[in-house]
Amino acid sequence: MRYILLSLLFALVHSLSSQVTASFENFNLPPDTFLNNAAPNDAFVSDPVALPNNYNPQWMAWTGWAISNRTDTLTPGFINEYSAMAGSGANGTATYAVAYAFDGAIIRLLGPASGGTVLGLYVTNNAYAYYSMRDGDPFAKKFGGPTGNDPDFFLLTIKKYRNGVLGPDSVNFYLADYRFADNSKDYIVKQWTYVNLSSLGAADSLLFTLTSSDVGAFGMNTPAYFCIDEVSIQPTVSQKEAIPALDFALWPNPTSDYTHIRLPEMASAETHQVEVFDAAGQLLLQSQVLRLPVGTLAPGLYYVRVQTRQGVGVRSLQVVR
Amino acid sequence: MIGDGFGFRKKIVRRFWVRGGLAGLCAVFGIFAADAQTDSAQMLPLVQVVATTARVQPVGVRTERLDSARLTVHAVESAAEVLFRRSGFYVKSYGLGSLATTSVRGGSGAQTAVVWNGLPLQSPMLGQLDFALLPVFFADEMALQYGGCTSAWGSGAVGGALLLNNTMTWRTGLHGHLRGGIGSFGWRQTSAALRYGRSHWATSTRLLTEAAQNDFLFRPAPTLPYQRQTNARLRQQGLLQEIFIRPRPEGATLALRLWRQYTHRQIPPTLAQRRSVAEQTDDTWRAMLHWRKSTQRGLWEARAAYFDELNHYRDSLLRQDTRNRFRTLIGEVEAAYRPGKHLNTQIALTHAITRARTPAYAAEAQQQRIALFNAWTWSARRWSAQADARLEQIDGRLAPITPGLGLEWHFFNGWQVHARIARHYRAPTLNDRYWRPGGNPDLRPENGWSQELGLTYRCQSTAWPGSISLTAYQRRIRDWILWARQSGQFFFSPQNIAEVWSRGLEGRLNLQHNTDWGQLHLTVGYDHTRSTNERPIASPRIEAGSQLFYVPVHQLFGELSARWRCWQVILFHQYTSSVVGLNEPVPAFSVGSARLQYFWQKNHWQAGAFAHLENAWNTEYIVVERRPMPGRHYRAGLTLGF
Repeated sequence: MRYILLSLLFALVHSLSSQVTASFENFNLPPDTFLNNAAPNDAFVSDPVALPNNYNPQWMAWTGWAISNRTDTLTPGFINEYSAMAGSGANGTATYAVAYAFDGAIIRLLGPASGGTVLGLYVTNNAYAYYSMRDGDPFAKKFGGPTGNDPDFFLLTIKKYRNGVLGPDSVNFYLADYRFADNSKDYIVKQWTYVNLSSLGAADSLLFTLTSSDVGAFGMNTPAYFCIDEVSIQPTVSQKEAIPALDFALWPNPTSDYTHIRLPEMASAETHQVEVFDAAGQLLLQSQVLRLPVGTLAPGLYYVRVQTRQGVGVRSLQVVR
Repeated sequence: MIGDGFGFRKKIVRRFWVRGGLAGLCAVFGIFAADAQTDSAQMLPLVQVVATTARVQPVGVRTERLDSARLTVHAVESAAEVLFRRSGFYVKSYGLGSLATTSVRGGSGAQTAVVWNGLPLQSPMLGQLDFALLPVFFADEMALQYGGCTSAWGSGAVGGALLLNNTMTWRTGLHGHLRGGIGSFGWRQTSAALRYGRSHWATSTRLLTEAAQNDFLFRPAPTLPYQRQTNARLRQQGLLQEIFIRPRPEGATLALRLWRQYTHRQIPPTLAQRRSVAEQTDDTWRAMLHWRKSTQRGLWEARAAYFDELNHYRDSLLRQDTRNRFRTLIGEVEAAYRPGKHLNTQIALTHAITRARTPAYAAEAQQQRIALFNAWTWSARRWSAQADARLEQIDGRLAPITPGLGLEWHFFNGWQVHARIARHYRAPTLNDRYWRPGGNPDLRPENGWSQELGLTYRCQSTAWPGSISLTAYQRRIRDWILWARQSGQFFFSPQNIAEVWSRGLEGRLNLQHNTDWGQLHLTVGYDHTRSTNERPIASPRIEAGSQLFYVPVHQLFGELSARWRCWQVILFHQYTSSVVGLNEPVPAFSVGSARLQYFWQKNHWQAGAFAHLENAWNTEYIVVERRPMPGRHYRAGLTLGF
């Protein structure tokens, strides 16, 4: 019996010690600043996750993820789009990630974490979204409406990709919930809240989507922002067994009609599976050739996933006209 | 009212030296509502009504005219309020004193041209004008042209055009008036006009100052108590200075006009917003030099204008502070010639240079336009026909050529048919081209054709003069510019993706009854407008066949005026059907208002009083989603003149 308990304790300790957490502290930001534009890379990497970022310097527009340690929890409006309402990172850390997710946002699991289980992460509202929901703004409504009785909500839904396939299961987290019959129970999240994702199981990446009760013809009126921190992952395979990351390049990128996939020399001779996903994670193209025709795709941001026996890699692809 | 334009087409220039009493005074000073044909024993100042060109009164275009006498009824209002009450222009008002744009015949706000003494006023950045910033007091005449007049006025005159004119006056001596008004929600307005006219020169000065708290009561929801509107204060000052020079009585005239206006408005919160501290100032300079010479067979005109408009938006809560400014320099030469008894031709060449700056542009945006307009008009006793076309180059790119062909046929006794077919276009605005993010420099102009056919009957009876008309039209605009988001694109950008089919019916009834004791006047109008998207679009979510946002299918309005001795009572009522909003439908509403005016005159002195009752039925309504409108409220004032 003692032997069994010791074995279980050992397994538990081993299990805990093998958890990895992305805390975004590796960016070493100066105080009260943010980091946007991951160029020349397509993502911010905080081992073991990559947070895709698409920044257009010409238009100063972006989507995906930014890294921030902004502490301003008082200023409403777009000008405060990089602040978390908690005023710092989760668990006393300084740095966190901010998502602008009008079309959803993805985080990719890297190295041994790919195929592992995301145990959970901390989530809170972004200051811009928080004040917009609390007070309204020229475009979005004050949650609850004039009477306070409108059953408004701001919902974060998290799903997983495994081998390029979007899983059926999801975890819902209400960043704001005004659906209670008793209005005193209505709330907008302003502290870091742990969201358990272990029910999703093994994943290569996670897809975050936002939905709001305040929707118009131009889409969701509520600012499509949220913040995460302390993403903890349980790799299911050892370093040896993990599928290694495949390094490859796309050229030309951006493109309007074709893009070529340049694989490392060792991988180029192998059978390869190429898949193209849109920003929402929907599989659009599958191919086994290295010259991808993308002329039929609408202009926008896509993800190209290549799998060989050497490993699996994902790169973003910009289609323009 | 078909053909009720700025004169008759048979002569290129025609002058009326009106001698009368009350009406003429009104025409000059806008003191009291009276029709220009009213006669009196009193000596009138001499008013030169400058007459028509093919652009001001195109053949086959339905035009409604509000002369100075009719405008007097609305003298303390903005153009937005006038159009809201008595025309088929749908006014999209964001609230009392707030932003107001229009939709004419199912067009967008940027498809209504605003023309001041022959030159377009729309912002080249937005493609439209805030009608709440156009004081009626600064115009002597308004004309509403329904249907596209792109060949005449250029880009944007797709749905219709609002023409604002100022008239020249000579040999009037010294005249002036002072008007003061007070009203609900802290409304105060003072205006003064001073005119002095000699044979060779004349001057006109108009000053306006207005302020309002606009803190009206409204209910955010039917179950909630009334609350007071906040952050809605308005403060406005304006000056219109005109100087006219005429070396010889029958020779050329030169007019110098300076329009200076400063408006500060707070922007109230929406119904879905806890509070707002946003505010906006609009600082406008408009200067125009207008030379005009008429001969037996022709008319020469030249205009040069400089427009400088600054819009400063700030919101200390959201830490926004944005200055948007454009400056436009326009030069135009125009000639009209009558080669034969029935034939007129007109040609105009326009050159405009615009510079615009806003933080949302990467750099100062520039635009250069060169346009050539030509029209040939043939007029006989029963027939009139006009062929016109415009050729325009914008920043080196040739815009679609916009030809037009109009016909009018007078038959039997008092009947008239009018028809017009024309092509239209609207060039992308500077915001469409350069705004970050999304600006698309490769946009094509919106373009398409329209056709209209109308029948009018005029009764020339002395006791019961009137008219009734019915007009049908249709218009298809392709490459309609819409800010949209394509799949995978993470920001909205303007694209030529929409196609809009607009069609409708317009009915008008004007009936007057002249008696010994006074005059009754009834105007009724009904517009049926279907303006549908012909292609489905994903974002914004638009289904094929759906009605455009903020275009009502039904609009009905009526005005009943009674004049007795020195009194005049006018009742307005208008109904607007439900419109499709961006978030939810805007319910139909029905609003009435009333005017009571009194005028007194002795020797050279005049005095008047007015009382306005607005939203007489105390209707709770909105025109734009989440933007409340005021309930019943009042305005009253006095006018003194000499």
